[in-house]
Amino acid sequence: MANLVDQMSAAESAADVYKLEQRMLKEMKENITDQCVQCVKCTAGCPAMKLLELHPHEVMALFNLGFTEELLKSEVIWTCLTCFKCKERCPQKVAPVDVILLLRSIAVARGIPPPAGFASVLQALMDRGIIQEPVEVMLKSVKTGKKKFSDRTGCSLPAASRPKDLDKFKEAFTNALVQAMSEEGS
Amino acid sequence: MKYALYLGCAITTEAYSYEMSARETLGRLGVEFADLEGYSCCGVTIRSINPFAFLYLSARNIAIAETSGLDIMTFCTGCRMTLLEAKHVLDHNDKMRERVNAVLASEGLEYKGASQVKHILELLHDTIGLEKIKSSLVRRFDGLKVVPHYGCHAIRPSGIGPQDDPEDPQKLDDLIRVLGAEAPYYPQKLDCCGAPLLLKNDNAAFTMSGQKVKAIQDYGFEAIVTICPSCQKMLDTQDICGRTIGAALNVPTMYYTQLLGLAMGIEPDKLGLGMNVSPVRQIIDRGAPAPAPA
Repeated sequence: MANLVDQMSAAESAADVYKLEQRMLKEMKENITDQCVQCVKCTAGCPAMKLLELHPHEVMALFNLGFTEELLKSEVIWTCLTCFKCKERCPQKVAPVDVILLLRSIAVARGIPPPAGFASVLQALMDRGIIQEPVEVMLKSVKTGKKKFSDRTGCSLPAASRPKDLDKFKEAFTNALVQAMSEEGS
Repeated sequence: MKYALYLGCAITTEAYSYEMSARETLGRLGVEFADLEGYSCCGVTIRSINPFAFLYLSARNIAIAETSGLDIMTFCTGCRMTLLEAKHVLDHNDKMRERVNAVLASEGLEYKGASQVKHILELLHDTIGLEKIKSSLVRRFDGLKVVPHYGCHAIRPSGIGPQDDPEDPQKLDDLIRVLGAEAPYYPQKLDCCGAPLLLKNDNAAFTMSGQKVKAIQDYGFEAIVTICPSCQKMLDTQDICGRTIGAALNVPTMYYTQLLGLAMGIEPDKLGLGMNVSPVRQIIDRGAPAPAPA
């Protein structure tokens, strides 16, 4: 399926992406991950470790040993909850979460598909700028017990704020998406 | 006190009870909001797969809010973190700001960096303050054991903006105690709600929320308060997370602004309490008249 994620990876030439990712990985390694002393504080507090076997200190070790390709293809980089505890607790000011997020963006730029949920979210944002149409929710009156479906108006809330000119928004958003791996990353 | 209100996707399209209760309670505490048109998603969900598009989306919303000349108020912790992270990058990296502004220009927008990004936790605790909240109450929840769920993105990462202690947050605890309730410590206080895992593995996500609610229930605590639409949904839908972990869960779970609204004497229906899935009725029926302010 030619989805937006594929378009993102097709936007830059493979050679350019390769050059950029090598520089980003090198900088990440030299500036940050070389400082890791394998104290395992990150893994001890990781919420994904308990359920999904994400061991951030192992990601750091594998990254430092050059197993980048294996990590990019591994499902484990997609189990991070971005709780940022590892970044907060590292005595060496290393941030496994930053490495994991960099690996995710490089994987996508390489054409390795992220979990399906990411592609559908991206498509939804492209279609309307927000994640879904405002839904009608079941509202059971605490006072009377009466049930009714309510939208924003029914809840006495102002109309949803959303992109006014959807075509212009889509053009700008597409422009932003294809620049993901050009020049500097964030 | 007037802010440009940025609601983000979850509140705009689904979590109406948060917005209703926040508007009701904050309005009575002297806060005004400018409701601007044209916002989009903050970019939190695509942050890890496309770093530049995330910056663009956040910058776009900040740029819209900046047209009002006001600071930005968020109720969602995901939006808070995302906007603050983007602001941090854009305010410290001229080249990146130029690139983002080049994309924003096609919609006639510009990120200037003039508006600050604030979250409701700081608004309630630091700006309005505990004393003013206390003087607005007509009911108290003496002895009620209410645990705070802060949500990861309300307090981390540090260094991007004003916040609470990332390892030992206390502001929501203070806000619970000002209503007369107790805010007992519990070891799972910093545990994640699991919401970010919904895109990858919803069984694991609901296991995470279920385990947290189960621990709170086993300790005998009587209610959970949240300050984020995603956390609230994960912890409140106890039919789903209870089924996932094979436990019957029944802990009343509500937005802090709903509990505050009850203490202010606001009609439960105006706080959207009919939308909560967990048994909040027990909390609605609790509470005693507060003594008249001295």
